[in-house]
Formats: sequence, C-alpha cells, structure tokens
Amino acid sequence: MQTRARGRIAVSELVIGLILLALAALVFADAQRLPPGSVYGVGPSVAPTMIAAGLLVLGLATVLAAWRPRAADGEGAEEGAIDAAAVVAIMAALAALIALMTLGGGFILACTVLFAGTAWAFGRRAPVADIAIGLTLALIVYAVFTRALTLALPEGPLEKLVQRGLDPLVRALKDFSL
Amino acid sequence: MLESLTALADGFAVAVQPLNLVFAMVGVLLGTVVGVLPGIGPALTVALLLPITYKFDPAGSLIMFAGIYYGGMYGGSTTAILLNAPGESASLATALEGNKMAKAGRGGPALATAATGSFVAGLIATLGIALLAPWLVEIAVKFGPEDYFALMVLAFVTVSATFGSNPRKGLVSLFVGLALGLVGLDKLSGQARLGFGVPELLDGVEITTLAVGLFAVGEALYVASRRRREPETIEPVRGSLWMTKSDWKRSWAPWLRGTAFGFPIGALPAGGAEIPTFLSYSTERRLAKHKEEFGKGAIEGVAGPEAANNASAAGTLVPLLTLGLPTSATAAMLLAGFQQYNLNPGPLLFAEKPALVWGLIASLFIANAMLLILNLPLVGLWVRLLAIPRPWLYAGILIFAVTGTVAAKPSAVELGMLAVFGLMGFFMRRHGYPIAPVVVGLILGPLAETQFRRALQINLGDPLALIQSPVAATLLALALIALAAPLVMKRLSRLKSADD
Repeated sequence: MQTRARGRIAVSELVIGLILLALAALVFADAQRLPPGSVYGVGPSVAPTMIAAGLLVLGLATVLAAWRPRAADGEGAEEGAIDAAAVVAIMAALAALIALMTLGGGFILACTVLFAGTAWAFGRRAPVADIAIGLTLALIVYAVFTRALTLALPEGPLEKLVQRGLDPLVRALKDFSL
Repeated sequence: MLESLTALADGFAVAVQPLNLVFAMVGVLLGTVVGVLPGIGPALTVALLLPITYKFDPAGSLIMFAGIYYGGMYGGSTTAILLNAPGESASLATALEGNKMAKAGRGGPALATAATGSFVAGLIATLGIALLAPWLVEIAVKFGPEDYFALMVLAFVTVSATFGSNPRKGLVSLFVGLALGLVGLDKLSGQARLGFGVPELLDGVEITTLAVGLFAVGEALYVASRRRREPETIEPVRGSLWMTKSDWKRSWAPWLRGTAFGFPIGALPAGGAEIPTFLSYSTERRLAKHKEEFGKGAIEGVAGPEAANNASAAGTLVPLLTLGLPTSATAAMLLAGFQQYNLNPGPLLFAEKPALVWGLIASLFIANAMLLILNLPLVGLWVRLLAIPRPWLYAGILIFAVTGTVAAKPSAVELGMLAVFGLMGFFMRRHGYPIAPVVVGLILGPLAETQFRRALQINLGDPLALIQSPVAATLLALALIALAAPLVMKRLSRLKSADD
C-alpha cells in the first residue's frame, strides 16, 4: 500500500475508468441492434443493457476515484518501475507463436520460439541452449498430446518429420505390449 | 441421514474400481506437480489440466479432477512453506509460520502437519458434504427460477464486493466477467451478441482460455516485469520428515478448529478461503500455549490454516454440487469440467446420476488419502521442482497454456484471446483488481441470465415476480446488505477515526 500526494491524479485508475466507459458503450450499442423480446418476458437485449448500466456506473466511480486517490483505492496496486521490455518481449513471443501456427509453421516450431523468447525476456542470454530445451519440451508435449491423449495440434514440416519417426515406434510398442 | 450414507457407500464402490483409482492417483500426482510450481494456484492447475481429460468418460475425468484439485492445493502449501511464495491467497496464512519452520530446519514436520491436517479436514468435510448435500438438494428442488436468480445475485456480491479489500475493484472485475459472458449466441433466442462478425466468437469465450490467460500468462508477464527484485530462497528440507509426539499433540486441536472454521464458511456462498484460514491463524495464535513461538515457526499456525483451507475447499463443493453455484475460481473451473460433458450440477444431477456425484464425493476422500501416502515420501521430488530456474519455468508454463488452448480450439482467434487475457491479467494484478470475480462472472453470468428470463417469462414479464417468492426476496435483501456492508463499515471506521 502506498500513499499518494493529495491533488495528484491516479492516471492508471483514470485510464481503467475510461476503458470501462468505452466497454459500457460497446455493450450498450450492441444490445440496441438486437430484436426486442417476445410479447411476454424479456429478449436478448435486457441483460446486456443491465450490464452496460453497471459498467457505466463503475466506470464513472473509477474515474472519480482517480481524482481522490485514497489509500483504499490504491490498495493492492503496485508502484515502482516495471521491466516493460520483458513484458513486450513475451507478448512478441506470443505473437510470433500465433503467426507461426496460423501460417503452417506447426506446433513444435512455434512452441520452441515461445520458449526461447520467454527465456530471453526473463534475462537469459543463451539462445542456443534455450532453443534446444524448448524443442525437446515441445516434442515431448506434442508426442503426449497427439499420441497418448489423441488430441489434434497444429501441424507443420517438423510434425510431418516426427510422425514418420514416431508412428513406427508407437506401432512397435503396441506390438510389443500385445 | 442413513440414505446419504448408503449413497456414499455406493460412491465408494464406484471410486475404488481399479481404473478410477488410477485416475485419482494420476490426478493427485499431476495436480501436485503443477500446483507446486510457484505462482500456480489450484484454479489454474485445474484449468491447465482440463484439456487432458477431454477424451475421457465423465466419471473418470471428474474423479481425476478431484485428485487434481486436492493435489493442486497441497502443492500450493508446499510452495508456501518452502519458498514463502503462496500461489494463492488461501495459502498466505500457511506461509507465515510454515516458512519460519522450514527456515528453522523443521520443514518436514510443517509439510507433514499440513498433509495430515488436510487429510483430517478433508475426511470431516467429505462427511459434511454427504450429510448436507441431500438436505440442500431437497430444498433446491423447490427453488423456482427467481430463487435461483436471487441466489446467484447474492453469490455475485459476496464473491466480488463483500470480502475483498476494495468493493469497487471487485465489482469492476465481476462486470468485466459478466460482459465477457455475453459474447456468443444467446441460448434462448439464438441471437449473436458481441460477435462482431467473427465466427469464432459465436461459441462464446472459453472459460479455460480466460482462466489460463488471466492466471498463467498474466503471472508470467507479472513475474517477468519485476524479475530484478527480491530474489527468492528455497528452504531445503533438513532434519526429520516426521512429526514428533509433541507435534501431534499440538496439531490435532488446530486441525479440528480449522475444519470448524473452513467448512461452514466454504459451504456458504461466500467464496474464498482467505477468511477461514486467517480466522484459524488468529485463533491458534490466541489459544497457543507457546505464544512466544508464533512468528518464529509455531506448528499450530500451519496445522490450523491448512485444515481450514482444505475444509473450505471441500465446503465450496456443497453449493457447486447441490445448486450448481460456483463461489470460487476453482469451483468455476470444476463447473467448466462438468459442462464439457453437458452435465449441469444441481438437484437434478443428484437424482439422475447418483453414481457419478457420489463417486466424485468418495473420490475426494480417496484423493486425500493418496496425498497423505504419496506426498510425504516424494517431498524431495517436489523440492527439486521448486528449484527449476525461473526463465525455463515460465517458458514451460506458457507452452502448456498454449497447448491446452489450441488442443481445445485450434484457431488464431482463440490464441489471440489468450494473449489479450494475459495482458489483462497482468494489468489487473498490477493495479489490485481481483481475478476470481472475472472467472465466476463469465461462467455464472449466462446461468443467471437464463434464470432471470425464465422467471419473467413465467410471470408474463412482471418484474415484481423476482421478489414475490419469500426465498428470493430474502436472498436479494441479503445481497443488498452484503453490498452495503463494506461501505457502511468504512464510513463508520472513518467517522470513528475522525472523532479521535
């Protein structure tokens, strides 16, 4: 908990309040294009309108709270510098993962990039080792999810290669256990 | 009374089938492995492991959940004791004395009293569920939609506003969750809401994507953003693993008192295990014979809160199973587990699938016993898991978060939502907004809307119908009081301090 100087505006609460107001407007606008309910009872637009009203009130309360930052409003919040570069790096790694999976790079490659990128964000500077560890972990997860749990994961060139090596192995294990 | 004991016995017959025992054991082990990782609480443990059970049959998968749930909780206390890094607020009280004990070379007995206390509490609480559930089911059968709606409103208020440190922030979290719950096709009219023409959004927001994004990705971002501060130290488990005679003597009463705090508070739709754990902690502190030990590692301060934590977790299953009402983030995840099989917990499920429900209750007990048998001998392994370097640990957590999401729904939109929820979780955490109300709002909001509309439809759209039933009127009045109480208390305390 921290005490702020009187008269200072809590910028974070102001921004959060404005986001809530925008969200309220969005939900309300979306509710307006819904058809009204049947003669009796309520249609699909009533609940969104109620929630939008709640968001509007809370958004206003939050904006007001920004102007009178009492101890209670700052409670749980943390001051001090953050390592913004680390946050950006992890988000970039996630974006790279989404791009790779969407463009057919496959699960294993995408996860390796995510692993190495996150490790980098946490301050490690040994990309070769991290790529190797990420690749191993991704391979294990891929094998467990697709073979043991029979769930589908995005496929790419690496997955095709793995299947060529993995499936005979799985078959051999099955023959062995029979 | 006799009936429910017979039903519980039938449940045990289901739970001790060899395959189900394997499910329970795998659940306990996986739950502990994931739960022991720093920063991962039971709710996230269940969310991360939910995709693994997609292909199982409902009974086996729910039994595995029971194991994951209890394993995750036990893993959390291990982290709290050895690392002084409670993964969730319910382990905060445990960390106070537990970490001091570990520092004094008594980590073994601290873990042992935590496990044994959890076992005792789980045993009593499971019996409590068995006795309470049929009685509540009988009441719940008579509930109309307006009563359910009122009950859910009460749960919304207690989960978000009443017991948090700042009611406004809790309500903000809740309403964001409710807004997210609107996304997708409306169940009653088939209209798309907040879909923005994106086909993936028509199915609504997946609760696992939300929970994993907020908790796991948010946590990774949070830890990365402040990695240059406060290096953590793991306390090695030195000395004896076992409790001495005097440890036992000092532990049994706190276990029972902790259970007495935990179970009723958990069973009320009040949500959260923080209150019973801290009540138990302060009670033990007051009653302790060796008061001077408190703050230096008193075993009572671990035994009581751990029992309270476990009993309250079991207690939250009462409203979940009998009313379909989740009152904590973990309960919300368990409800999602039910929903993936189109099972809706509530009085009907008790009547239609008694073997499933009672099998689950019996499995809770078995999971508890397995924890006791498995975890103490394996403590060396858990300690090694704690020692995984942070960069690899969080990189690994992110891989599991992504894998669960794409396995459930392979689409770029879903992964994008995961990333956005992660960023949201990071900012919420940083600015002191609680996360559990978002998760509860997402899953409970649509259910509340359905009951609301049903109640109005039956009564030809007359809004007074919502308060016509005495039950609904009472519950709504309670909700109003629960909403006003923190505000009034704050005013009072400020008036008081102004007088001084």
